[in-house]
Order: sequence, then structure tokens, then C-alpha cells
Amino acid sequence: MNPLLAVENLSVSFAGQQAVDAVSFQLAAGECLALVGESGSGKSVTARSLMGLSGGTVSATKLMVCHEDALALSEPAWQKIRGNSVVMILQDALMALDPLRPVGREIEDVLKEHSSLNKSQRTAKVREILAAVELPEPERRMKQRSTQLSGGMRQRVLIAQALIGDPQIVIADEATTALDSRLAALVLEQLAALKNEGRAVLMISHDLAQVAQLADRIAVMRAGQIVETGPTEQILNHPQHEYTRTLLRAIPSGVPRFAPLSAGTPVNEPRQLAPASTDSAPALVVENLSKSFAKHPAVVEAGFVLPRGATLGLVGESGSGKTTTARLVLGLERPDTGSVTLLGDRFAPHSEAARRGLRENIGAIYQNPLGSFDPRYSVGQILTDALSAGRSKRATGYKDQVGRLLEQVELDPVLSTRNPRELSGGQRQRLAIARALAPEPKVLVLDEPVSALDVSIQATVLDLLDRLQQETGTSYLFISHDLSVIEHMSDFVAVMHRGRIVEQGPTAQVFGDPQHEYTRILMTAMPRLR
Amino acid sequence: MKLLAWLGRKVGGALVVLWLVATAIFIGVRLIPGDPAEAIMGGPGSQASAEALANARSEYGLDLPIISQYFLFLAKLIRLDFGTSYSFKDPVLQIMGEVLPPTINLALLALVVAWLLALLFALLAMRANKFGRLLGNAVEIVAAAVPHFWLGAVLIMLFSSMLGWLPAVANGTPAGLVLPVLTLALPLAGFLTQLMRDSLNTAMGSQFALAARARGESRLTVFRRHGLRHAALPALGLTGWAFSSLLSGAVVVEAIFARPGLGRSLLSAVLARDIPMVTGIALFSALVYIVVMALTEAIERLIDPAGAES
Repeated sequence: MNPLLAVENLSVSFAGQQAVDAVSFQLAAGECLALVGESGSGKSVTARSLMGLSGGTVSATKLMVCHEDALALSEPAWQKIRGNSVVMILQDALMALDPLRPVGREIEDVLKEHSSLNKSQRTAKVREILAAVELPEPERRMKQRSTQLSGGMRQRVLIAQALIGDPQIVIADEATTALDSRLAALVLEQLAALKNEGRAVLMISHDLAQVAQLADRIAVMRAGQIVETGPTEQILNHPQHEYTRTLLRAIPSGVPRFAPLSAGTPVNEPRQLAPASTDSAPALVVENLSKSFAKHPAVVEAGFVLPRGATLGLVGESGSGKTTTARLVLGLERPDTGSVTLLGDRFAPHSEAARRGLRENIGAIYQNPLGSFDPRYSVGQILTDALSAGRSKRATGYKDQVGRLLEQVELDPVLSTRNPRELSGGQRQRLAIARALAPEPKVLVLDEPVSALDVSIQATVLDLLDRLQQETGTSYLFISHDLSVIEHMSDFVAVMHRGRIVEQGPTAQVFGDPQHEYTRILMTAMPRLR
Repeated sequence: MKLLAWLGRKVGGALVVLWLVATAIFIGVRLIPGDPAEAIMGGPGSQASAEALANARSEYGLDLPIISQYFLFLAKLIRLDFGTSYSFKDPVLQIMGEVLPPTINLALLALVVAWLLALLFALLAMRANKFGRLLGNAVEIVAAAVPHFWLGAVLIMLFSSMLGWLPAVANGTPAGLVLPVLTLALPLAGFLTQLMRDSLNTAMGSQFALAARARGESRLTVFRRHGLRHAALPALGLTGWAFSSLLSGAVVVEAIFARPGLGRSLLSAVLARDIPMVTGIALFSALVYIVVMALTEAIERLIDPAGAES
């Protein structure tokens, strides 16, 4: 069969820097190929060069796109192909739509470029396609801007924009990344439908578990090269290349608690939770917590107990009230009702002055740590600042302690003179962990700590968190939308839905025998490999 | 309904601002050293008799207690009675009707030209190579930095004295408008371009611009559909300020090109301590500023309804 995409020895370089190095693959109609690799592995550049949008210097012995020689295509010829026979669904639905234009107009632009329909015909077609991707109230929504839509609606709009041109090849660039499991399932469902209609689907992702559900074949990319390629079944069950095995091992789904996800971490005995001594209070007791913003309830009567030395996983979709709960627990937001008790002491609601003595017992780590670092501070200054409780940022008196902290989170002490902006995403998160550990807190609130990281980096950070918990006995309130991360990391789980905790209990119980309807829906949407 | 409420808020706010401006003028004028009665009689050089000065004081209410003068002043303003100019001996409103239109014309034209030039610069900067960008950047900075009086003089030298293409003095023809408008518009254009370029670059390098390219749009189309809006927003926010700076720039430009207008009247009014004229001009400038601010806010709302709400 004549493939829609035929790539032989594709190389792309930027100002002499090789981003893609002699990559070859083929893709036929009705087939799905996944390019899997870490960020920076060249997978997105590869995908963009298939649309003539890489922005770098492209060379190849063969580059056929929809039976046309892509190396010889002029810019106007490319413009006829893009959005028409080859389309791309981009990663972040919020960023991929212009915040200043109604979403309907964005979709309509495809028709403006590629059809001779008049204004009313175009509007009718946009309405039609939005109904086809099941966007609620298409008539009203198409006039709104992307910032006024929910994440799910934006995702549907992006898919509608890709579909309206009736494409032969669909490139999905991290289209399921950082989506909660139900949204990811929605996107996968739509992509599967496209594949079944006989279109070719090229998936780009860092997450093997997610692509495995749809891909017929997987190509694993690393540092610009394809290190292994084969049928999905073979890649998952009989990986040949060491790097593929690393990626597979990094997937937390179904891995027992405390079992390492990354190589290089010493294997710890899965630890039994120490029986809670009767005289010491639990790390955290949350009772009847509620909070509304402008009469819109964000958290409703939430209650849970975090035993000492344990991890409670708080799971739910975006907008379910997880982060507001975290802010209430940290005393950053005043609850409307209810209370938070930290190690037996009342923590919220309370005056900040009364709380200050207790503050050092609780720390927090967020999804994007860079925003929480003072951009003028070096790594060492950030840690010194935390160690001295804000009294000093001069590294002299704290040099040894800074070194120990960096070692504890497996960062090279040499980094202490660097600016956090020079660190990689994984290193930044380690720095955030080191800073949170500086006052030796008893409780850590981790709000989506690994959601911005590649699966392989996520694995090393999760292993680090495991190790630190075993060494220090810190209790974790672990917040995530990712069920498999929660399952791997938690002793107890609380499921949040529309501001309420709908179900909670020991992890095995909640995951093995979900009682609440919503928990069951979440579980079925969860990708499973093992 | 929402529009009516918005308009109501704007008008209410404008009245408060005008009242504050009027009060500030009232206080400021009385802080000027010298006897206003002397100014009425034609300045210190006129050697007016004590009797004539006393007459002038009572005629203009200058012998009343200060608080009565203030309320009298406000009451007159509410009736749109700005009084009679000391130096021109004509009602201020009538003089304003003559000098305001040419100045507003000049400033508005300069504003439009500055925006067009800025958009053109921004578009060129987007398409230019590294050297072109550097050159463009230098031109913008120089344009934004040159003072009006120097630029005006250079333009006159170049285009009228040496090339003889355009008249150096405003003569009422469209050709006579070109140099004054350019003198006002060029520095503003440089400044606006600097503002636009940053947000334009961010927009053109964003995911949604890539998405637009992936839909098959050319770079120019992406610029037109996406880049322009994002570039215009920050510049739009400063246009109210820009317009008021154009009005003050007009003082200089009108003097250079011997154009009649508000600027020259203001200059002579201040020099002659012509209090009714100064009051009238300041209030009108404030009003013009408020109207321009409301207009730019309305345009911003059109471009970015969500952003304007928050």
C-alpha cells in the first residue's frame, strides 16, 4: 500500500544544532503511529517538519506527505496542504486558541483558507462540526473566546478545527498531555474515531501508557534519533532498547507503593505503615471544610484525616476544588466553615500571628515551582533563605546545610550558584522539594507536583518523594488529577468531585472496589498497562 | 443595558474629574503672584489708576471672600459661562470655538498617522532579518527620543528649504498640514512601535499562531488576524495618554509652523495671566482627554471583552 507519509533519513537542525537526526518512518491511511520521547527528544520538531513549519534546516533522502514531495513544496503549496489534508492538534488547548478571538472564528478560518463557501455557509458548517464533536450549546459557545470555555470545551473546539478540513493525516502533538483522565479519554476517543474513518494519525507524546491505547506502532525517540520502533504489542511487552525499558518502568500505573519507577534508586522494601500510636495526634485533620467564591461553592463540607508518616492522595478533575482545599489547609484562604488541625493544634481558621509558630510544620510544593522562586536568587540563596526562615540569604553560614539539602534531593551541590531558570523542569522540582524540606516540616502539601514533567522525569521525582518520606517520616497530602500517580503514591485516597469528597478510604479499597458512581467513571477512563 | 450602565459610569466619572480640574485651576490661579486686576487692565505696564483697579475687582468679583468666589466660579462653569478673556475681550467660549478645531484636527491626524506608521514599522520589523531588526530598533528609539522643535526644524529644512516640496508655514491647504502632522506623529510612532513589537513578537511566536499556520494561513494572514490585535492592546491602553501628549506637543508645533490653535492661545494666555482663557483651555483639554480615554476603552472592550471585564 502506498503510505500517506514516507520519511527517510529526515534531519532538522537549528543554527548548526541537530534537533532531528536521520529519522525514518511511514504511515498509511487508517493507521496510528506514536512518536514517544522526552521533551527535547525532537519529536515535535519532526512533526512540524511534516507540515513545513519546523523553522529549521530540513534535509531528507525522502519526505513524501500525501503523495507530494515535501522537500520541493513552495510556501503557497504548503498553505494548500496545511489545515486541509494535514492538520495538527496542539498540546495546550488554552494556548492553541487566540484568547482575543471567538472560537467559532478560529474554526471558520480553516474554511476561509480552503473553501469558497460564503459567510453564512461557513457559519453553518462551523455549527455543524461543533455539534459533531458534542460541544454543548454550540450556537452560544462559538461566539465566546477560549478563556470563557472550560478545558473540555476547548479540547472539543481544537478537534473541531482539525476535522472541518476533512484531513488525510492528523498530527496530535501532546494532545492528551496534562489533561485529566476523562478529558484525555475524550481526545483518544475522537482520535480513534478519526483512525477508524481511514485517516492516518500521528501521535506525539512523552507518555507510553496513553499512546498505547490507540497506536498500532510506536517509535521511541531520544536525542533526535529513533532508538526503537515496532508494533505497540512488541514495544510494551518485549522492549529491545534499554531506553524503552526505562520509559516503560517509569509508568506508575499498577506499580506497588514504594517500588521504584526509575533506575538508579536503591530498591526499598515496601514499608508497612507504622501503627498510629494513640498518644500522638494525626498529622492533619480536616473537618467540614467549605469555601465559596462569589457565592460559587469551591469546596463543600470536605473532611479527611492524614495519619502521621502516611500519604493521602486527593484526586479529581481540574476545577473539582483540589487546589482550593490545599490553600485552605495551608491557611492561605480563610474557610467559610470547618477547621484544619495540624499535629493536634488548631491551624485554620486562626489569626496569622497565632499560626506563625506552627507554619514551619507544614510546607508546600506546586506544579510550576519557577514562579515561586525569586528570579534574583541563586539556588543557594533560595535554600539559605528557607533555612534561616527569611532572615538571611547570604550563603556563608549555611553552606553545609545547603549542600546537605541538595544532596538529599539528589542535586549536584555545584548547582548552588546557578539561577533556577537555568535548571531543567525536574531539577527545579527537586529544588522546590529541598526548599520545602529546609524547615523540616511534618506535613507536605504537594499540589500536582509532577504534572508538568515528562513521565521519565516524573518517575525520578516520585522515587525521591518516596525515599524522603521513608527517611524523614513526613506526611504527604498529595494532590493530582492523575489516577495512576495517586494509586502509586498514596496509602489513602480521597476522590473530589464538584467541591465534595465523594469517596475516601485505603487506596486498595477505593481503586479495587469503587463505590461512588463518579469514582467508577474515573477508573474506566484511566489508562492501564499492567 | 450594559452599555447604558457603562456610559452612565463614564459620564459620572467625567463630571467628577472636571470638577476636580476646575477646583485645581481655581486654586492654582490664585497662587500665581501678582494682582489679577492688573492683568485685566492690561498687565503691570498699563499704569492703571487705583480707581480703575478697584472697578475691575468689583466687576470680576475679585473683592468677594474666596469661598464665594469659588462657588460663583463653579456656578458660572455649570452654565457654560467661562467669562470673557482679559486679553482678547471676547467670550472664552467663542475663542475656544475658533482655536480648538484646528488643534484637535492636528492632534487627531497625528494620532492616526502615528498608529499607521507604528503598524507599518511593526510589520516591517516582523518580516525583517536580524540586521533589519537592529536598524528598525535604532530608528524607533531615535524617533521616540527627538524633541518636536528639533524635528520640526529639520523637516522644514529638508522638505521646504532644500527640496521645496512642502510649505513651511501652515497655509490652510492639505500640503501645509503634512509637516506639522509628521512632526507630531513621528516621535509617537516610534514610541508606539516599541510598545507593539514586544507583544507582537510574543503573539507571533505563540501556540495559537502556530495553530493558525497549521490551518494553512500565510504569515501575513496570521499577522492580520492574530498579531494585530495582540500588538494593538498595550498601545491602545496608552493612546489616551498619547493624545494628551499630542496636545501639549501641539503648543510647540503650532509655534514652529505658525498655525493658529489652542497651543498658541494657551501660550499667550498664560503669559498674559488671562485667567478665564487658562481655565477654559485646561477644562477643554481635560474634557478631550476624558473623551479619548473613553473611546480607547470602548475599542479595548471590542478587542478583548474578557480582559476588560477583569
